[in-house]
Amino acid sequence: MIVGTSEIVGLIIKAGIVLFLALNIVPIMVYAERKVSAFIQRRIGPEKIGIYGVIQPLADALKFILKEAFYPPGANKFFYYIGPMISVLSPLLAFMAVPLIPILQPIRTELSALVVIAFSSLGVWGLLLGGWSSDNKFSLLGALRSSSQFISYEVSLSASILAMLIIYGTFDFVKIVEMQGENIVKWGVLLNPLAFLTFFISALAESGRIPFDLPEAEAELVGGYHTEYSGMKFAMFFMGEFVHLALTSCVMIILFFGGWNMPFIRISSLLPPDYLFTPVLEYAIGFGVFSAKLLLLLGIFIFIRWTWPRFRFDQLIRFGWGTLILLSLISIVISAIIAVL
Amino acid sequence: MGRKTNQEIFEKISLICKGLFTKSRVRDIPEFVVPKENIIELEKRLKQDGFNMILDLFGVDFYDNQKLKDYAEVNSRFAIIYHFLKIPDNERIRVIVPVEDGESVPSSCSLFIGADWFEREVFDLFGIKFDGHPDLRRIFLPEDYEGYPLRKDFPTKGVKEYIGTKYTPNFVRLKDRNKKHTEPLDPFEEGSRMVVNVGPTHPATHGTFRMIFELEGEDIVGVDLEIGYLHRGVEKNSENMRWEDFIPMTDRLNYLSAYLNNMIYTEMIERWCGIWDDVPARAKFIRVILGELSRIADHCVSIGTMAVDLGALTPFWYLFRLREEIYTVFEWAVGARLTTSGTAFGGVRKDLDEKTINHINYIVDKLVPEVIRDVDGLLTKNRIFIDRTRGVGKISARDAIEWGFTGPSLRGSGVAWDIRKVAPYGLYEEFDFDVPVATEGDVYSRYLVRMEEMLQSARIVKQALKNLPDDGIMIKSDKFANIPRLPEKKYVYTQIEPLIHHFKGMVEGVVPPFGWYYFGGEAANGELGYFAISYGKRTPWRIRIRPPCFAIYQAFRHMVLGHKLADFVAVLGSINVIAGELDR
Repeated sequence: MIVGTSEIVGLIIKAGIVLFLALNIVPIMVYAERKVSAFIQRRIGPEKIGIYGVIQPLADALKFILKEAFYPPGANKFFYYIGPMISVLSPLLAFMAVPLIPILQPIRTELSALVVIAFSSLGVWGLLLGGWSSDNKFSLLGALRSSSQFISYEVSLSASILAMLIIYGTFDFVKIVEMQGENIVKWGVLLNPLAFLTFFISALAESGRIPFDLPEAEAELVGGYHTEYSGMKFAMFFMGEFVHLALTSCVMIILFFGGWNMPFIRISSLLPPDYLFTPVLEYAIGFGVFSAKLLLLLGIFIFIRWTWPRFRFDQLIRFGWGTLILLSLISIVISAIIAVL
Repeated sequence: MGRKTNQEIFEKISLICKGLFTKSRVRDIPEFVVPKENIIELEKRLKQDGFNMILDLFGVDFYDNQKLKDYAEVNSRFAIIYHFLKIPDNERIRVIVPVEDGESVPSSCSLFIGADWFEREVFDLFGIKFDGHPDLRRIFLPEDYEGYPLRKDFPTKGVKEYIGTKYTPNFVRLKDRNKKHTEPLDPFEEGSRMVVNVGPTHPATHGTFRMIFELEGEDIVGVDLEIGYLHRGVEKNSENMRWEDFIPMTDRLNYLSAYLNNMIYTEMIERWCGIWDDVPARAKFIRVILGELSRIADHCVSIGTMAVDLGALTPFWYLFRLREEIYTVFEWAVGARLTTSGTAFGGVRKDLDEKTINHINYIVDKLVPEVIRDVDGLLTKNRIFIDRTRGVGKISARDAIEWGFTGPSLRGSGVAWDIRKVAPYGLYEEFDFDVPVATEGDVYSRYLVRMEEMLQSARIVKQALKNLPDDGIMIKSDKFANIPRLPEKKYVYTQIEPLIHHFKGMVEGVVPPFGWYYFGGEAANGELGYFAISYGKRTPWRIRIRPPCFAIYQAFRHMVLGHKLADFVAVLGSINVIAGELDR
């Protein structure tokens, strides 16, 4: 494959933009999580730094950066440092194949669904290596839990993605979104609600948040796999979790909620057809729609987190292998029937 | 069912245990002096008669005080005192076993398993050995500590300076789970079991105590508990302070409901001195109001922290909002928020004013039902919460009684045992309230009991506020010269007579009658009892505190065995272990 300079530059610019957007999810999530949890719990939340405390995430980041770069004496230094990096890099890499709008997809490939699954599955290595290398029993238990949890739920996650791919007949996220269009009857969530359900639960489990936050269950395991981490290395795990959550939400929007399509109204019909900036405006509106859907989903995730207790490990695994995989297999069958019809 | 009087119980036990005791009499409860050879036989007969709990077991050092020995009718330096209790008839007897220095006593563990830690405590603090005890180690102090602190000849500063925490674990193991592990292992040996140390600083230990778990995968197969990190020697300290100076010390037992501790202690002294009937009703009402409010606050913490440990952070904040408002009431009504010291002998220190009463009304009418409704909505029917708590940490009614459970933990096992009902003290007989009972004996039952108890406490407070009498907050009786009714300050500063009264009152303080007395009340965790010995001086000879969660926490080992690692936090939260009360 011959690539020209302009293509490489374009790729770098696109990748830069996606990276910027994906990483900016983190401060937004940090702030939203603090404010929403405060709202749910009848507290005020951050309010001192900036108006309504909007600069709080920046202060958090500064605190993380300024902390001592400590590592436990018994730790395996290499793996200890590489763990958080893997955990933040893998969802970021997966983001490269996620089209927020059609042109903003650095890895433009027919197999974008596979690329996303492949990269996001790597994230568990970070937790496993980090937990194992930090020479702490709580970390080790957390790492073991996280690996078995993520691998278990990976199965049903992939199965429910597969169910949707069967319906759409393609691996290409852009084509999937275009097929759904503005008519919500064609959106994945209505085509196969069961697949959506299994995907949603698996995504929740993959993100490692309540009610599936067993790897870091702070009550019994102190901090789980990141017990021994502090400063920027801890922040990387933290970022990895949020970026991963945003990633699965994006995939969910693309597969089930029509991506950048506005419900009921075709975006291009709103704009004058022969205006010079029409395509740009179309993309901008599409991006806005996508962002709105993303924020809504993330809000739901936050609400769930502050409402529910946590599963126990055996219940989690039983639920994953017993109920969820069964449901996701049924959803594949449903998809197959829909596809044949 | 008519309740037996002390005399009837005394006659019955005298008949049953004929020949086993040397002396017997009825004081506040029937007492028997039993030689140590006969104690096991006596326990067997008591057990046949239905006495099912060793409520308390502790030592007393008479040292060289012949008067006290005569009072106890023993002729040895030490005595071990057993309090036996029969649930649900509320029959109590006291058994005194004389022991000389260096002698040992047969252990009661084979008959009453709940004697386990109590005997360890006597061993730790008095150096009296128990033959046949399965696990006789020091319990509060490090194992290489020199001297036995509660002996009278032990210097308050210690025999020599000690730094360190030597401790050898001794695991309670799950039997017959895995054949190849039935023989005892070296606890820190490398193998298929992983030894995980939890505490003394760990997110799940609300207080400072240490748990050591042996894990097979995530299953708990061995447990050992170490306590004593918060052992401040409250009982030893009490011997060097006046009776009323001990009130602030009671704050530091169960510091989540300090007012209940104050209330029970003061009521003990008042009943002992015979002035209980002269205490004005308003003071008694205020005690009940604030006591029940602090019970609500205690349950708030218990449920809230359990929910946090199960991952549900939000109920915790709702409950703590309620607790915060209750503490505001305490701030106005007593002057302190956590360590209240709100009661005084003969009444309470401060009256409730209009603002406080309005706020209490707001709390019990509005806030408590609202918070309970919110927490109920978040937890009670939540599938995950039910899965996490139902069937976890199960203990049957029989076992619970045998271990010495009282309070919400016992009611969670289906025994309707509440001292406020079975032997009303304070003014509880005047109020209409129910004793909630849940039958399963698991974490979920204990949670339900606590939730309902908060509503019942609010009910009591409501009734008390409605009928609040107006007859002063301090005793007026002249019958009791010992209670210093201090003259007003302006007279103290200007006239000689009040000055003398003030001086004498402050220096001498209250002196209860020579002898001993036991009084127990329903604290937030169960029966909190004080056993005190007065030898006619202004300081106590000994104050023994019967802590409810000490008895409950010893059963924790058996409640978590075989469960998953994640379950121990639920069990721990549900029994509400307070280190201040546990270690004293």
